[in-house]
Amino acid sequence: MTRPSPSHDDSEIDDVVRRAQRGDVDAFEILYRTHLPRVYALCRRMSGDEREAHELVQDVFVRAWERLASFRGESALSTWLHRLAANTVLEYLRWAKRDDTRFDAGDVDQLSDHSEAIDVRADARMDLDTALARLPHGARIAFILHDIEGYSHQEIAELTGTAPGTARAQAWRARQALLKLLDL
Amino acid sequence: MTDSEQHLDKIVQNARALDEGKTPASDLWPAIRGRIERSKVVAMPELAGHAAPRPARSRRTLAWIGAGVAAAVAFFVLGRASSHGITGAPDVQVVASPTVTSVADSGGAYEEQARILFDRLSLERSLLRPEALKQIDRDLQVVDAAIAELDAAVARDPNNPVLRRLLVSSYREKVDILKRVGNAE
Repeated sequence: MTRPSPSHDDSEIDDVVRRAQRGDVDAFEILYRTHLPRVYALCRRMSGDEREAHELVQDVFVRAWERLASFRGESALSTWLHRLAANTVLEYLRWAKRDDTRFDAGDVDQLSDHSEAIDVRADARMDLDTALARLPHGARIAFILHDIEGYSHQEIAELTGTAPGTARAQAWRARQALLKLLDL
Repeated sequence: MTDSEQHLDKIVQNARALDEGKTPASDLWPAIRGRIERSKVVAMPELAGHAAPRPARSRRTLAWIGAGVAAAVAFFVLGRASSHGITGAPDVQVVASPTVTSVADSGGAYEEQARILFDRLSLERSLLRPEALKQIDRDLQVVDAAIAELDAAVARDPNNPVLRRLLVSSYREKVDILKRVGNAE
């Protein structure tokens, strides 16, 4: 799972991380501002709700602050933070009992019968997010983590506590549904 | 890969690129910083007898929070809540400090944490000043009332994520009040 973090070069980030680990809240704010867009996008897409995303972003960064001392730098901070964010949202969805919706093969056809296709307009993000919001949670999360965030099916299985085959099937079915929803 | 799938990949790629500049409509940092600062000042000593920092929050703030929670409950119980209708709800989220045993993000875990802290408070009541005790009891009464109302509301509408989240927030607040009591003796 790799996506580059914006701005700031590596040595600069290392220094900021060290300062934050020593309890410098201002340094932590730099990390927050640097990584906010990706964490926010993940929370928004996975929860499918703007307000919940705001609360989840707060939870992610408070938790990151609490656990920053355990970050040893074996992976990039963005990877560590991203994994923390995914776990936080999944925990919340489990708690809110919204992770148990299986998406089976027949559901793709059913979905297209009951949903109008979404016009593909200039704003790809809005179109995609609108279509994603119509998917069951399990399928949406598999697609987001795999196709958007770049996790492997194995990693998704570990995060969600499912079998890799299930994660793969959910992502594939979500993909088929999106093709229909986006009228592609 | 078909043309349609390539098109979908292109949309995903564009959406991902657009994510880079997109941030929440409101600045979340002040709330995050507040929670971080609170977790720093309310750290309970892990061993009895350790000096603990004085709580930063005044009684007036506590009363305000209690009133805020009660207002949020009233708002929901009156049936005005919807998944988009909690703009005015106060930020009453508090997280456990790094020195406190980790608290899982669930109502049950906070309830358990609150019970342990409440038991400790029962033992330590005699050490507190009467006026402080009175204020703490008042704050706890407000939060407990909020929890009871939210419990009932969740029982009526168990799939409402907003209500469930508010319930957890109330438990968090109770834990926070009890932790500050631990520091205030």
